[in-house]
Amino acid sequence: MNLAERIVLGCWAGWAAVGCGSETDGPPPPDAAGIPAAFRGRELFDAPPGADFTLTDQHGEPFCLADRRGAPLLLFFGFVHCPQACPATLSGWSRVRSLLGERGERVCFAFVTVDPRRDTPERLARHLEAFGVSFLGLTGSDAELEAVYDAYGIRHERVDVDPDDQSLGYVIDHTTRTLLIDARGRLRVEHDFRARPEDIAADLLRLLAE
Amino acid sequence: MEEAGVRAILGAMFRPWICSGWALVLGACGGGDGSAAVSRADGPAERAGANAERRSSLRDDLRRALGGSYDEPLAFVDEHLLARGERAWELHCSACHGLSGRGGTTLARALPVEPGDLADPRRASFFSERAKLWILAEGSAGTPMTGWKEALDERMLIAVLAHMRTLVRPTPAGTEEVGR
Ligand code: HEC
Repeated sequence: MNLAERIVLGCWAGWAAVGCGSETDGPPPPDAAGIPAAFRGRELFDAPPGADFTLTDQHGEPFCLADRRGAPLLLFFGFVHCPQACPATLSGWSRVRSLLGERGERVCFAFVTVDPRRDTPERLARHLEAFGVSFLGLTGSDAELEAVYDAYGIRHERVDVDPDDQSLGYVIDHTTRTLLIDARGRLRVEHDFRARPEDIAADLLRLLAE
Repeated sequence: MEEAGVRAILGAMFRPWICSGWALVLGACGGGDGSAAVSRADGPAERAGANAERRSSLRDDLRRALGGSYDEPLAFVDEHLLARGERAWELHCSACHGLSGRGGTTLARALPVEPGDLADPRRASFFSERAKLWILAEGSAGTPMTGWKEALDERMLIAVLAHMRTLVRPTPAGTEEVGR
C-alpha cells in the first residue's frame, strides 16, 4: 500500500477553515508509569520500514538516519516560509519536547525541507532555533531529497501565488504529517499537524518504553 | 559591540538581498541566544519580561547599526503596489498575524513567541519602518518571525509594510507615546 495514498495532502490555504483539535476523542488512560495503553496517532501497521537516508543538517554535518537507531525520531517535511502547517507543527514539537522533559533528550526531531532553494542551512538554523535548540533541519541535493520524499510518500508541489506576478512569491503544498519512527527504524505512527502535543508526547513515551 | 559587526550589518542593510547571515551577527550581540532566554523563562510574566528585554536590545542594535538611516522613510508605494502588498500579507503573513495584524490566531497562540498586536499604535511605532524592513528581510532571531528576503523582493517587502501601516489603529488624541 502506498503511504502517500493514506496521507492527506495538506493545503496551506485550508487551515483557516479548520479548527484545532485532537484526532481522537478520549484517549485511553495511561498505565501506572504514565505510558498510554495504545497509540493516539494513526498506527501504520502495514507501512514500509522507515527507509534509511543521509542528508545534511543545518550546521553542514551529515545526518544518517541509521545512526539514530536506539531512540524514537519524529520526521516532518516542510519549509521555512510555510504559513500554516509547518509553524504549527514546530510549535507543537516545542511543546512535545518540554512535555517529555529529560525523557526527551534521546528523541530526535527532524524537519526535512521541501524547499531547498530558499531553505539554506543558515535560514533553517535561524528558523529552527526559535522552536527547539536541538531540532534538526535537513537538506540535500534535489536528487537526495527526492529519494527521501519518495521513500516516505511525501507529496510536494510548488504553487505560485500569482502566475502573472512572481513578486508575490510561491508556497508549497505538501504532506503535513509528523511521522514517528521507532528505535529500530520502523515507521510506526503518524500524526496530523493539528494533533495535540500531549498525544504526540504520549506516543513517544510508548515508543521509548518498548 | 565590535565595529566590524556594526559595519557588516550596515552593509547588509543596503544590500540585504545579497548578504545573508548578518542576522546571526546581530543576534549574537542582541543579548545572545534569544530563544533559550525566552523558552527557559517559566511563567508568562517572566516570558513577557524576557521578550520585552530581547526586543529592546534588538532595537538598540538596529539603531546602532543603521545609524542615521534608522528613521529614514521607506520608498513611496503607489496604490497598485499597495494592493499587491495586501495580497502578500493575506497569503504569507496573516496565519500568524491575523488579517487585521492583531495576532491572536490559533497559530499565533501556539507559537513559542507570540506575534503580539501589530495594529496597536504603540507596538507599531516601537521599531522605525527601516528597522521593520530589516526584521522582515532577516527575521527576528530566536522567534518564529523568519526572514523573508529569500521569498519576496525588497519592493514587495516595502509594499507589505505599507499595507501594515494601514492596519494600525489611530492613537487616541493626547496619548501618543514619543520614544526614541
Ligand atoms: C510563523 C509566524 C509568522 C509569520 C508567518 C509571519 N510573522 Fe511576522 N512576526 C511573528 C512573530 C512571532 C513576531 C514577533 C517577533 C519579536 O517579538 O521579535 C513577528 C514580528 C513581525 C514584525 C516586527 C514588528 C514587531 O513589532 O515585532 C514585522 C514587521 C512582521 N512580523 C511582519 C511580517 C510580515 C510582513 C509577514 C509576511 C511576509 C510575517 N510577519 C509573517 C510571526 C510571524
